[in-house]
Amino acid sequence: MRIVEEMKETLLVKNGKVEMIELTEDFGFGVRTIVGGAWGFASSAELKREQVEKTAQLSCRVAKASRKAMEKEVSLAASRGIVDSYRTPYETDPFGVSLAKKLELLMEAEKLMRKVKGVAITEAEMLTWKTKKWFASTDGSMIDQELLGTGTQLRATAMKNGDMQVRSYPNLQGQYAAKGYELIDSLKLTDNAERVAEEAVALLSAKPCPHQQSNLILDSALTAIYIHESVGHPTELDRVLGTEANFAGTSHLTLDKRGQFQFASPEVQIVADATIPTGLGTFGWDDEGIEASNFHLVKDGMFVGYLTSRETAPVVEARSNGTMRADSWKNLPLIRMTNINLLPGKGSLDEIVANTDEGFYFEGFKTVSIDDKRLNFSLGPEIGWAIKKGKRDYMVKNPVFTGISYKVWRSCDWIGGEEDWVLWGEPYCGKGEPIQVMRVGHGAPPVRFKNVLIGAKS
Amino acid sequence: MIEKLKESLSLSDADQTEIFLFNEQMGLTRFANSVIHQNLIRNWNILNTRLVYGKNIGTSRTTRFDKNTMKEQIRLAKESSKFIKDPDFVSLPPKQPGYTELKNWSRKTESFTPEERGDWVERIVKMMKKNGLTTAGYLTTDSTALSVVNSTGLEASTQVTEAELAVTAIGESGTGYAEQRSYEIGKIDMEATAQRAIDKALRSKNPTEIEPGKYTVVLEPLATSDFIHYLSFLAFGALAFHEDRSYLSQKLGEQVASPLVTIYDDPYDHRAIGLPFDFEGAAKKRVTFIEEGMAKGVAYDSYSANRWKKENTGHALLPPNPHGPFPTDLIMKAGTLPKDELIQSCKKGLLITRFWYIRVLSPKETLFTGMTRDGTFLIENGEITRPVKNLRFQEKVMDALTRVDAVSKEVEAHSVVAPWIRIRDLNFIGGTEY
Repeated sequence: MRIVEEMKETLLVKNGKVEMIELTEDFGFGVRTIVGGAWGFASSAELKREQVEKTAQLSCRVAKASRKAMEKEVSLAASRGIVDSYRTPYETDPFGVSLAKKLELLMEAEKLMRKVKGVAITEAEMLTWKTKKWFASTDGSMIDQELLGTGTQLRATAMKNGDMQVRSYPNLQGQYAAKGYELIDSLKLTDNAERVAEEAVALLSAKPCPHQQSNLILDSALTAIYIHESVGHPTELDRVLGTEANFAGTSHLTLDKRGQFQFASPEVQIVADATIPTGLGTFGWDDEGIEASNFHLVKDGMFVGYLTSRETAPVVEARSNGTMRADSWKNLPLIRMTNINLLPGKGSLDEIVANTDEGFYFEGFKTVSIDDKRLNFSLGPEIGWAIKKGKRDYMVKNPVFTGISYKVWRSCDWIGGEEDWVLWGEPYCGKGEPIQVMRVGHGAPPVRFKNVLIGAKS
Repeated sequence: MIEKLKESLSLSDADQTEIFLFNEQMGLTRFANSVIHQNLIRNWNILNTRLVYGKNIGTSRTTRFDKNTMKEQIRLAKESSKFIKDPDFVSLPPKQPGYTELKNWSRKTESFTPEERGDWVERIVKMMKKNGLTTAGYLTTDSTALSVVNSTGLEASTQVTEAELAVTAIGESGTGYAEQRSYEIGKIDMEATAQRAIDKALRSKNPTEIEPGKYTVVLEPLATSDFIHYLSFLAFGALAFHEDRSYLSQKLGEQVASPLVTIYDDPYDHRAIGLPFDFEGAAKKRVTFIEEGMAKGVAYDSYSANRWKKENTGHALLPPNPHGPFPTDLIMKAGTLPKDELIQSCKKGLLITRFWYIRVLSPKETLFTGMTRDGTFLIENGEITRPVKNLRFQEKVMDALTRVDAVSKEVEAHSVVAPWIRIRDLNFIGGTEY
């Protein structure tokens, strides 16, 4: 049984005025049961003894109904009873910072963007949340956790002659972390506001991205979303085993490929790390009461690991690696990414550019699409520059990067170092029916790919 | 419930007060690998409070609902109102003269049991086994109650049910998908839906690769619906329109699509499972966005209607809503041709069951990308000749709608009520391995 209470505050300043203050409280509980080898789940917002009993009985009834289409009884990997607590470490509680102070910062940053001639829409946003979870299971676990996070972003939109370009800071989806208000202070919104507005305007007169094979450098934000789509999702073992086939899809990383498939160039090391400080996928225990862990998904370029649950783990190993999470009390836990991190190599972004004779550099995530087995992808960055003889040359707009995911990873020939490695927070990862939106993290440096396809034939 | 909400209005000292209550009882049975693997019942509320003090507006939201909660929500909304002053705000919607009664609620759907859902899945699994296939999908039965009251005297209350069956049939080298939805579970033809998915999966066996490029496409209603659904996010709301972000901005009265294309929002069409009022209680009106290819209008809520001096069409989402009004009951008008004729009169093209992961590369131009999924077939000389591996398209969808040359007389209700349509020269830029 899980009881979950979440407080969320979203602030938006747009075009010189406070556009939105959204205060949301979400409270309730869910009961997941196995009866006769089949799963059931029921949830309710009314936490009273009578209602808890009724909901538990309903969950058992639903489980019994699941037996109508069952081949074998559910068998779970072992779990030991845990009695413990976990709290996100932070310096300043964002809910303790006054609305006036937060809005003042957003207004100031938004005003700086608005000063730039040619900008049509300017927006500054801030999100804070605090989630309390109490978990108890018949294995003897009693776990309480308090997870806290903050995030922010700036967006400048420029329009001219039917063209519309958006530039953002630190990223179109913002930067979020399991940190207190210290994150907001560290991001220095006002230092970056004018630059992004100027770049939005400059994009209007930039050349279109050409369609060609090219060497390509991605900034860490784009690398992060590429990891998310091409490594995170296809290594979810529930997808691999077919349980998301109707909606999110399956995976090309089938069981026979584990330890046998050269997924990427040998420099590539990718881990799933739910223990790293400040990650959105960092916690003490998952929603099955399994301890957070850190393990390889890709080692020396070889595909080696899956994200697992207690039900799926026995297919590949003895124990769950603890990745089951639900987005609220009213939904079932699913296998979700934790923090899927590409470990740093060597060299800064500037060094990678300086050592690239010919190619393109793409920056800032705008959009991404990938097929339902996670092979053919299209990544749409906000902005790009041609690189000639180790220097940024002309700007390009509407850049696109497409290919087959593992083939592109195999062409990775430079992984940037710690100096430009960022642990990005991705608060809007969708999966499941009804869809659940999960907070996950991706640590990523800038990377370079050799001879990949950019642009698209129109 | 309305009486309880009206009592709560008296707890507020604001110039205007609005209280919205949503309750959903959902039963959902998910199946995959031909077994039920997720099965749930959930019951939850959203209580949303909006207060107006002059030009200051504050909101708060919770999933709790009792008297103490109400007091706290009013306190929170009042606190936030101190920071939001909007000179363009005029008023919450006034008391409405009345609402059109919609028959979108079914006792049978609301009371459908987990055991009955299990029976349906059991029968679908049997059908799949007979054809050497496995299956994944879901059956959901949902009952929603919505109430809105405000201090102008507006009172709105309704109930709606929705049942939906989605079935993927899975073979060794091909998949097929079908879905059906209705407010009434009894109107869903479970066997026909499963059989359609089976037929597609069997026909999708051993797909071959084709070169990317421009192909005439026949979109089945799900694929048509995917295009229009995404288009509606970008182009059909008043905020995007007046901020010049919409493709339709400054184009009203212009021919923007083929004369065969008419797209409108109509909650009173029983196929759309609509509501008689929006999330601030304003009565919904039918709105036409594109009529015989001509740009006609966009959807408004009370705020945007007041701000731009237009009629409120009743398309508000839950406040606070920075995205503006939005249509939820979209319909593309049927044509005159039998659906089979779209294929029979096609010399070379692709038949597309549905799209997947559509995303927007350039919103104002409506430049979309996405993949085909669960049944893509080559059409040659008026016949479906073979399955092909899935392809990625990249296309300015409004441009594509100017190249619609045939629309079926049959429609299906998905996220949009949509017909089969044929588009010339849709641009495919790559393919995948299956």
